[in-house]
Amino acid sequence: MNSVATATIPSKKVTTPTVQGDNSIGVEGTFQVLYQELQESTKASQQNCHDVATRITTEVYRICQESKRIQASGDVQSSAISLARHRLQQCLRYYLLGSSRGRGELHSTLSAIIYRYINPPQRQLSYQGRLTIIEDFLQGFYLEALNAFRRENQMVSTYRPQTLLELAEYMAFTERYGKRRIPLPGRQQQLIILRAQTFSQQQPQETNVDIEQAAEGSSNDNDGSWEEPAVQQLRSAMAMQAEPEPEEDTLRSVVITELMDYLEQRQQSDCADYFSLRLQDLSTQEIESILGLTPRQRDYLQQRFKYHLIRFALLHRWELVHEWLEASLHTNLGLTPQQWHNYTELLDDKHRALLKLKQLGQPDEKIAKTLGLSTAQLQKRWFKILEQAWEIRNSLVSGSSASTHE
Amino acid sequence: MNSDSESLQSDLLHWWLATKTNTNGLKLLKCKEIDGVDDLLNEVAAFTSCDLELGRMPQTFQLGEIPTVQERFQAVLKRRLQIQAQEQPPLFPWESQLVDYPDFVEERSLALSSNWGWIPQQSKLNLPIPLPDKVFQQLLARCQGLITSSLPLGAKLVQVVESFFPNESQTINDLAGLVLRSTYRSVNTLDTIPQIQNNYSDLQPRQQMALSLLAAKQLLDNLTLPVSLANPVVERQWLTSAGTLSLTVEYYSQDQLVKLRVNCDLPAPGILKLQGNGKQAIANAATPGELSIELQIEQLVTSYTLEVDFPELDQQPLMFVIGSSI
Repeated sequence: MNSVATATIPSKKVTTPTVQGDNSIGVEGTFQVLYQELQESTKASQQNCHDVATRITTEVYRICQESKRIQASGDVQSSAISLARHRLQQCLRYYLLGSSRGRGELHSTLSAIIYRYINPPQRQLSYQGRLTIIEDFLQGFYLEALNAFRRENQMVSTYRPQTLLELAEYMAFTERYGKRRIPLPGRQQQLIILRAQTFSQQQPQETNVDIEQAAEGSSNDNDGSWEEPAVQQLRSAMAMQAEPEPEEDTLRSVVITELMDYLEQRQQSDCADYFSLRLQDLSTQEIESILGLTPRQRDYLQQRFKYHLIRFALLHRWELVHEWLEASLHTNLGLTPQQWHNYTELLDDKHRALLKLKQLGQPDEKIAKTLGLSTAQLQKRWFKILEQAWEIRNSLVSGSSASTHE
Repeated sequence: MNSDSESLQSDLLHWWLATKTNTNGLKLLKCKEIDGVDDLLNEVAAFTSCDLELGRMPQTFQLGEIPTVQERFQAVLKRRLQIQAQEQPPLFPWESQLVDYPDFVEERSLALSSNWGWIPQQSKLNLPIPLPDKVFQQLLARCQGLITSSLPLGAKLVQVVESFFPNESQTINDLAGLVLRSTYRSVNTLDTIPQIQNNYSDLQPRQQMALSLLAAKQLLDNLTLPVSLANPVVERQWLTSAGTLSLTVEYYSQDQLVKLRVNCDLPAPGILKLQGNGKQAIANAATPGELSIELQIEQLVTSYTLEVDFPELDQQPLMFVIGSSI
């Protein structure tokens, strides 16, 4: 549980907000802002507001002192104020939610962050199974956060929140604590994720999976049984061992982001949800559980998603997608010279002319005019052309293997 | 969509699910038919310069970490989990049930709950059924008030319990006699308390009196540390909300001086005050752990008191009496 650095921000003996020489005016000012805001926005007692404002101020200035970035910026005061306001907002948000809804919010936020990292070694888990482990994990995590809160705020070891404001302060702290970035070789990871990984690795092993099988992958990889969950778990664990920065694969990220936006624009946000789940290494059953869908409903959603996916790839953002697939027009849609030759031979004159004009980089309006087509007709034909090229790339290169119809 | 494009979309999806760790040399061959993930993985592995083993992995994990994807995934999951969390709200470590948090912790409610820190000790008492916390708290407060009194035990018991049952002096007196004799009997055989009820409020008043007397007697016992020349060391434990308080009282002579020494194992930061016969010693501990206090005395003719104060647990200190046996 504690294999990773516990205290990222070493606590210092700063018990009142007015002790820092150079910053004393700033500290006092920051404190006053927080104190007044708390008094205006909550029904908490003056003493309570004072205590919370003091703790936030102290922590903010500690962070400002220890942050090289903030120190280098030369404007510690405005950093401190905005940091303090941000913390105050987090606290007030939980305050307004109240005890019951607030904890539901915290619990679901943290659970969602760690969900995909709950991968006990060689064990396949359902949605409910993961939730059970998450519950166990979070119980321990809440205690860890409470102790961290006491330690970093110089509180007595028996401190516990008693008022709603104090509870809100604890919940906001716990969320921030979980999201703290822990530096690892070459990357950063959130504290709660590291803890959750460690926790789930300590779960008892129950099933064995053939490593070979896991590496090979399932041969029946269609959407019905996407992959065996057990195999998938192991794979994702292996994949994690060497994790490059995901941001580096920019083009793919761009394509994915654009697709998400495209789906949103077409009021298909449930398709975008589905897509985000499909990218998470989750089994079909898990996806159904999370979305609260029956297999049949999920199947409909999947078909709808695919419809939009194709239109995105071959119509609306075909250039981007083909660039990403390295099958752009400049490279003859990714066809070999022989394929390209056969392909263009098979096209009718109008399609061939369309392809040629597209390759010359002419705008659609001009091409449509030249060929005597409406824009809609042109797009439909272009869709067809790209589709055929896609088919050729696949069928000719891979021989005659049957395609997977889902 | 015709059936041909059905395979297109599956291809496309697979492309997302496969990682292009190195695009050099992939060019055309990547775009081959995929009838299973094997082909794709082999393809990627064969034409990437990266580690073969890793190349075979569909590194969907990284895809999941693309911020757009991750945000949406977490939002989707959170919506689902929120429903669950509302149905079964989680509890925080210090909670045993879901309670509302007030905006104020009023002074009055603080005073009322001032003995909560000492209350867990009830579980150490030998009672047929537990007392409500509030009753136990009031009993303890009454016992504290009478602990230094020189009244005989029976009278103390009556006084402690009498305040809860006005106009029942005679009954309480009778029962007190019974409780005093119960020292030599098992609590379970106390015929005044049948086993059928297990809730204090369901008991007959007579049974409530007996139970209170029984608790008061044990509390007074617990609060008395009867050291003497014949019995120079007494140990005592008291369960608090922060853990067990352990006390060892020693009565000893050294270099012709008689001393009273108390060694404590404190479950929380605390203050010890040992006093009697015009003398007083105070010790303070900012952290849980061991703390000792010593007082030089004449002889153990009068009783001494030991106050244990845990400011974080309880507004009221707990007072023990040392030396006189009840």
